[in-house]
Amino acid sequence: MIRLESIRKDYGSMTAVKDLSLEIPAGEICVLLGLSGCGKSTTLRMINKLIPPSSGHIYINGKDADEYPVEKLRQSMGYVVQSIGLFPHFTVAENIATVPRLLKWDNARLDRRIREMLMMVGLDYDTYSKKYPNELSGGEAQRVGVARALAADPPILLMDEPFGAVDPLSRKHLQNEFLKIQRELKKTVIFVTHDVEEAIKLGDKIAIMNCGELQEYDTPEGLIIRCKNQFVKDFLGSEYAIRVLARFSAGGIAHERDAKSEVCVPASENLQVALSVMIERGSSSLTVTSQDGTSVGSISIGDIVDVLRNTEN
Amino acid sequence: MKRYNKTIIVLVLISGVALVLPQFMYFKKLRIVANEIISALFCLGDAFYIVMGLIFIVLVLVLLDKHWAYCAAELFCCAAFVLLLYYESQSLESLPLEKTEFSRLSFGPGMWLWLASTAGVIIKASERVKLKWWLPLIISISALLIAALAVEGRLDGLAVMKEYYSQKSMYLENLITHITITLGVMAAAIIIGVPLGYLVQKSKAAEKITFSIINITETIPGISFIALLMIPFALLSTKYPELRQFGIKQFGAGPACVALTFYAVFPIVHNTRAGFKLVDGNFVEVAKAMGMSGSTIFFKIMLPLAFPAIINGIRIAAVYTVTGTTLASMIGGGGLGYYMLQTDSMDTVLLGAIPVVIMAFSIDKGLRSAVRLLPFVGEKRSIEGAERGI
Repeated sequence: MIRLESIRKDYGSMTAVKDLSLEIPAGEICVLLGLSGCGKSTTLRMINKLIPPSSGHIYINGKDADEYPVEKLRQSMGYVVQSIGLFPHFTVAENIATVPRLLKWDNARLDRRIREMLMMVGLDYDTYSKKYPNELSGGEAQRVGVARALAADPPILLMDEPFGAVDPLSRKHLQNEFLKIQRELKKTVIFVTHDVEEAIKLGDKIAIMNCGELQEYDTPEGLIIRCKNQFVKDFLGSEYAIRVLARFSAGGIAHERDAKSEVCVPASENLQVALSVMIERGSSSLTVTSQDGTSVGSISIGDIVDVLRNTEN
Repeated sequence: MKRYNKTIIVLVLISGVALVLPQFMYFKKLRIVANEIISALFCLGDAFYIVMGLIFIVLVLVLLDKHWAYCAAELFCCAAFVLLLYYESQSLESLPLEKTEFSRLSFGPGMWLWLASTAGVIIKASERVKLKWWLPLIISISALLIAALAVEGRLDGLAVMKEYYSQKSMYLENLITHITITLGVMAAAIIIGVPLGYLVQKSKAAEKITFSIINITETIPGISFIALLMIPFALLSTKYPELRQFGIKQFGAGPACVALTFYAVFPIVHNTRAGFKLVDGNFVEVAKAMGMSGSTIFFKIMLPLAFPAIINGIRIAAVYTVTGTTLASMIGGGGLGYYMLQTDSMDTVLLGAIPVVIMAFSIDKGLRSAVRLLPFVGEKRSIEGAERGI
C-alpha cells in the first residue's frame, strides 16, 4: 500500500504539486490522469524519490519512504516510461536482467527469469533475447520495458505513459495484455496517462489532477455517477460514460430470463460492444452466449443503462 | 539516355593521358644529379601496353555502370598500380642509358598524375560498391604484394628503395622511435583527455579554464609551440641536470611530446564532452529509477554510451599525433620526420612519408570500423553527434 500525505513540490515560485493526499491500496491500479503539466509525472517521480518533495510524506506499507535506503526502495519499484528507456547497449536479455543483476541473482536464476518474463510479455526467447533495442519495433520495445520493470518481481509498478509512443492498435493490444498480466500478478500500480480512455480501461481508481491539485479520486464508475466537479466533467467529456461500459462484460449482467432476441453476443464481450451491436442491429435486447454458443441469458438496453448504478449499490 | 557517372569516366581518361605524358618517370644516374625525363613507353617497354590495356578495361567497366563492374574496376586499378611499380623497377636493367650502381628511377609528374587520378577512380567507384569489405580487402592484398616485392628486392630499381638501403642502419630505429612517441603521447592524452572531458561537461568553471587553455594552444602553430616549450625545458635542465636522464632537456623528444600531447588532448576532451552530453538523460533517469548507484550508472550506462564518441576523439587525436610526430625530429627527437626533412631528395621524403601515411590510414580505418562494429551504434547517432561536436 502506498499513502501520500499532503505532499507538495515547489519549483521556485511555481508549485508543481499542491498538498496532494492519496491512498493506493495494494494490488490495485491507480491512474493519475490529467493534462500535461498537471503534476502527475512529478507525483510519480516523488514516489521513487527521483524528485524530493518540498514537504509532506510518502508511506510505503506504513513506513515512511525516507526510512528505506533509496536504492533498495527503487529496486522494489518497477519503472516503465514512455520514451523507450531501454538501454541501447544492452541486449533484450541484459535489459530485463538489470534489476535482478543489481540484486545479485545467480546466472541460472537470471536466465530462468528472463525466459519467464519474455514468455509473459509474448516474445520468443530465441528470437528476441539477443537483440538490441534498435532492432525492436515500438510495441516490442514497450513489452521488453514492461518485462524489465517486472523482472525482479517488485511489489510496486510505476508507469509513466508507458503506451504513449506506440500506435493505437498496438496500444490497445498492450493494454489488454497488461491487464491480463496484472490480474495474475496483482501489483500495486501507479499509472500516469493523459488519455481518458486508457485511464477508464485500466484504472481501478482514477485520480484526476489539474494544476498540481487533486480534483477527484474515485473508481471510473464513481467518477461518472457521483462527480460534481465541473473540471472533471469537462475533462472526461459526456461520451466517456459510454467508455466505462467497456469495463463490464456482457456475461456479468446477463439475466437468466427467456432469451428471445435473434441477436447474439458472446459473454466475454464488453458492454460497449454489446450496446454497439444493439444500435447496429436495431434490437433493444441481446442473447448472451457462452463459448460453445449456448444461451446463458439476455441483456436489455435498460440493463446497460442501469449498470453503473447497480454496481455502485 | 543513359546517365553516365561522368566524374569517374573523366578520371579514368586522365589516368590514360597521364600514362602517355612524356615526363612519366625520372632517371637518375647518381643520387644527386639532374633528372633525365623518360616516358612510360620508353620506361616500361611492352608492359606499357598491359597497363594501357588495364586502363581501357577500367574505362569499359565504368561505362557499364554496374555494381560488379565497379568492384572489378577497383581491382584492376590496384592491379595496375602493383604492375606499374614492378615493371618500373625491373626496367632499370634494360634501359639503354648509362648506369651506375646508384642509378635509380623515381616518379615523374606523369606517374604522380596517374596515381592521383587512379586513386580518384577507386574512391569514386567505392561510392557505388555495396560490399564494404571489398575495397579494404584488395587494398590489403595489394599492400602485401608490394611489401613482398620490396622484401624480395624486386622493387630495387626504384629510388625509394635505393634511399632505404642507404638509410637502412637507422631506419628501423627511427620507425620505432616514431611509434614509441606516438603511443606515449596518445597514452598521456587519453589519461588526461577522457577524465578532463568528463569534468568539463560537469562543471562550468572547469569548462571555461580548460577551453581557454586549449583555445590558446590550438592557435599556436605546432612548430612554434615546440620552440616555445624548449625554453622551460632548457631552464629546467640547466637548473636540475639530473632531470636530463628523464628526457627533460632542451633538445630531444621532450618538448615535442608535450606539445603533441596538448594537441592530442584537444579532440579527446571535445569528443568525450560531446559523448557524455549526448547520453540521453532518460537512460540516466531510468537507471536511477531502477536503483542503480551513481558509480554503477557511470560505468554501466554513461561510459558505454559515450564510448563511441570517445573512441572517435581518440581516432582523430591518433591520426594527428602519428603525422605530428614528424615535428619531433626538428629538435633532434628522432622519428620518421628525419627523412621528411631531407629536402635534397624527394625520395627520402617518401621514405618517411609512406609509413606515416600507412599508419595514419590504418588507425583511422581501424578505429572507425571498431566503432561501427559496436552493436548499438545502429543509426550512428553518437558518431555523427560527436563529429558535430568538434
